[in-house]
Amino acid sequence: MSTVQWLLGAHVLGAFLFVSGAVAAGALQTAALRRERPSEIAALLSLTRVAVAIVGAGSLLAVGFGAWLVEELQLGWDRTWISAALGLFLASSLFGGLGGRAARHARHLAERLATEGDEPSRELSRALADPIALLLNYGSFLAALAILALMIWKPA
Amino acid sequence: MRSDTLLFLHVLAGMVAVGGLIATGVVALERRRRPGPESGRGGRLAWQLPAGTVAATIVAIALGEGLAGQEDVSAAWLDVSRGLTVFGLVVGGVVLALLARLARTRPRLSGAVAPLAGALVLVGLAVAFVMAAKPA
Repeated sequence: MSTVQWLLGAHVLGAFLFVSGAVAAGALQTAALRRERPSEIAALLSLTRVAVAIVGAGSLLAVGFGAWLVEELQLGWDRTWISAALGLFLASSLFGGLGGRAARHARHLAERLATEGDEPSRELSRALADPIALLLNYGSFLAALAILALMIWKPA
Repeated sequence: MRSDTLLFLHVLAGMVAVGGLIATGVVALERRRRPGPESGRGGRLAWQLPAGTVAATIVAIALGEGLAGQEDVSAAWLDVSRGLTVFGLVVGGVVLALLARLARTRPRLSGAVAPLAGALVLVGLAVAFVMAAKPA
C-alpha cells in the first residue's frame, strides 16, 4: 500500500470515530431524556463521557492525518472545501463543547438528586431538555455532517 | 441516485452503525460494572441499540451495492469488505442483539455483550479502513 492509501485509511478511521462517537453520545443523551429517575439519568449521562472521549480521539486522528494528506498530495490549504471543512470542524467542536457544558450540569444535578431520594424532578427535566443546549448539540452534529458532505463532493 | 449522494449516505449509514455499536458497548460495560435488577426501558435499550445497528448496517450494504453496481467496481478490497460486513457486522450484530435481549433474564450472558460489541466496533473500523485505503 502507498503512503497516501495509509493516510487516507487513517483519516477515514478518525472521521468514523469522530462521527460515530457523536452518534453514540446522541443516542445515550436521547435515552437519558426519556428517563425520569435521577439515578438512571446520571448513569446514562456519565456514559456519554466515553463517547465524547472517542469523538476527541477521532477528531485528532481525522485532522492530523487529513493535514498530512493535504501536504502529501500538495492539495493546498486555500481550496474552498478544505478551508470550509476546517472552519466547520472548529464550529462543530465549539458547539459540542458548549452543549456538553449543559449536559455536565444536568449530570451533576442528577447525581445529587439520586442521593437525595432519587425522585423525578422538574428541575432536572428542564436541565436535560434545555433548548439552547439541544440546539448547540444538533448544530455540532450538523456541522460534522456538512464536513462529510464537503469531503465527498469537494466543491471548488 | 447520483454516485456522490449514494457514497454520502453509505458512509453515513456506516458511521451510524459503528456509533450504535459504541453505545451498545458502553451500556453493556456499565451493566457489567453495576449489575442491578432489569428495569423496563433500561433493559430494552441494551438490545434496541444493537438491533438498530443491524438495520443501519443493512442500509449501508444496500447503498454500497448500489454504488458498486453504478460504478461497476470489482476488486479484492470490496470482497473483503463485503465478507467482514455480512459475516461480521450483520451476523455478529444479530447475535449481539439476541445476546443482549437474553441477558435481561439470564445475567450470566451479560458478560459477553460488551466484548462482542467491542469486537464488532473493531470490525466496523476495519471495514472503513479497507474501503478508504482500497489495498490491492
